This record gives sequence, C-alpha cells and structure tokens, in this order.
Amino acid sequence: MNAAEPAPVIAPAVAPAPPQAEEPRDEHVPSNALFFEVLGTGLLYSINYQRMLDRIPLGLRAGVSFITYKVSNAQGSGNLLLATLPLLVTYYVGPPRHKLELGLGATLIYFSASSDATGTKFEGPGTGLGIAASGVIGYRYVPETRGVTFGAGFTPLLRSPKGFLPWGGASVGYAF
Amino acid sequence: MRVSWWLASISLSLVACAVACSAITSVAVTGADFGGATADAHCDRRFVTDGGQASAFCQEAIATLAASQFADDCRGKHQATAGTGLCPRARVIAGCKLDKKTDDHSTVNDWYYDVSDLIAEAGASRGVEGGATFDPPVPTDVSAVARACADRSRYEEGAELIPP
Repeated sequence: MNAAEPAPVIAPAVAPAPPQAEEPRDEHVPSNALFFEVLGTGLLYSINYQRMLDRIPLGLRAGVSFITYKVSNAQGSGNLLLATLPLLVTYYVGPPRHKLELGLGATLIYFSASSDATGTKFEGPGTGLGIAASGVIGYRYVPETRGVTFGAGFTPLLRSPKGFLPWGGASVGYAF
Repeated sequence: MRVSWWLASISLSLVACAVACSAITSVAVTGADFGGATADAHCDRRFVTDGGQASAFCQEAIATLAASQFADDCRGKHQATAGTGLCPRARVIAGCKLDKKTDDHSTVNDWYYDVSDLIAEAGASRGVEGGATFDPPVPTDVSAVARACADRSRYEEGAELIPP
C-alpha cells in the first residue's frame, strides 16, 4: 500500500448508541417537600413531609397534627386531645409548574375526651384510635428545583361511624 | 363625609369578621366532630345537693363539644346531678327541644318528669328555705309540658314539644 493512499475507512455495521442519561423521575418535581396544611387530611391542620419516588411521579406523604384544649374552666377538669397522622400516596400530572395532585391514603385519628371536675370523661362514638380513608384532588404549584410550594384541594375523609366528610385544605411550604 | 366613610368601613369590617369567625367556628366544629370530640351529657335537676333548688326536669346536650363544661356548670350553678349520655326516660311526661342555636351545633332538650313519687317521699316543702320541693312548673301531663315549652319567659328563643 502506497503511503500516500488514504487508509480505507471501515464503517461499523451498527452505529454506537449515544451515551444514555438515566431517565429522570420527573425533572420538574423536587424530591422533597415540607409543608403546613390548614384543614385537609389532617382534619384541622397538619405538618407534612413528602418524598417523591425516583422513577415514577408518585409522592409518599406523612404528616402529623396535635391539639389539646381545656373544655371546662372548672378546677380539676381535664383537656381533650386530638392527634392525627395523615398518610398519602400522591400522583402529579400536568404542566411543569402547575400540577394536578391526585392522592389516596388514610388518616390515623386518636381522640381522648375531656373530663369534668370529678374526673368523668365524656366519650362519644369517635373516642380512642380510629382510621379514616382519605383522598386528595387539587392543585399544586411546584418550583423548578427548590422554593415555595403551595396548593389547595378537595380532601374528603371517610370514617365509621362518622361517615363521609366533604373536606378541603390549603397548604404552603418549601420544596427542595 | 370622612366620619361616615370610617363608620361604614368599621361596620363592614365587623360584619366580615363576624361572618368569617362564624364560618371558621363552624368548620372547626365539623372537623372536631369527625375527630370524635362530641359527646352527650345530661344535668338532672330533680336531684340536687344541699342548698340547691330542685326542678322537675333534666336537661340533655346531644353531640356537644362542651360536655365536661356542661357537667361542671350543672354542679356549680344548680347543685344538680350531672352524668354522661342522655337523660333517663323513666317517668318522663314529655320534653321540650330548645330552638336556641348553639356554637357547637348541639341539640338541647329538657325532659319533664312525673315527680309525684318524689314529692310523696320528701314532702311538698323541702325546697330552699322551706319553699316548694320543686320549682315550678311541675307538669303532670303532656299539655302542661306543651305550655312550658311555649312559655317565652322560660325559653326566650322558643322550644318545641317532644312527645314521650
């Protein structure tokens, strides 16, 4: 072969695939969010943490709320106590910043009745530990990487023997 | 002109606040009720401790958020007998359902009893300072209870008869 001749170019039978980036979960939803919700699945209020899953646009949310209140002014009377633990799986659809939030879950409810000055507790049908099925259909603003997130929606609850509660909630917090 | 503008603003603010406060209370009560915070309580005015004046009725509060306060008021203000649940129904003649709106959306009923046996047992003049054992009215039939229910000096906001 003459040194002046160009070397033959051997084309590969199959072009190598370009380096493939790992498919993002949803590039528009930050992985974590911490937010305060008024009413909603925590009943009166709740403080929530949400973690987005890596590969699918599902979020796992857990919250907590605690209220204690002195019903009677009489000396020796005891406070009522209401604690809730809302747990939800949420799914987001829609444009990058403005999402439709859909969710299903359960809210654990613990209620301890107040007592009068003699120590008698006035317990209704919902006293003690209970569980309510819950759901969310609402709007949520989601920042691009980190920042303020807020939303509002319909958050119905269903519990025996109390029945169906057509409820709603609004939340604001920080996503990161 | 400026004063009337201020008065109008303040009036509007007060109305808006009242509406908002009422709505917030209503929502909070609904949520608390779902959480299990409501209960029934009764105050039996027939049975009083020393110094109390007995009456021929028992008052019950149904699905109230303030059951413990109701019970403490029963003892503190009337020296009467408080308890959980509804009023006993034995020897009931009829009742009056109060039309009064309560903040916690509870229902309040007064049940009037045939107290002839208690009067026979204790005497007719065992009230405070030798007065009548039972404060009037002491109804003996349903029509007398109906008259008590219709008495606006007794039930300012009205009451409806509940048959036995």
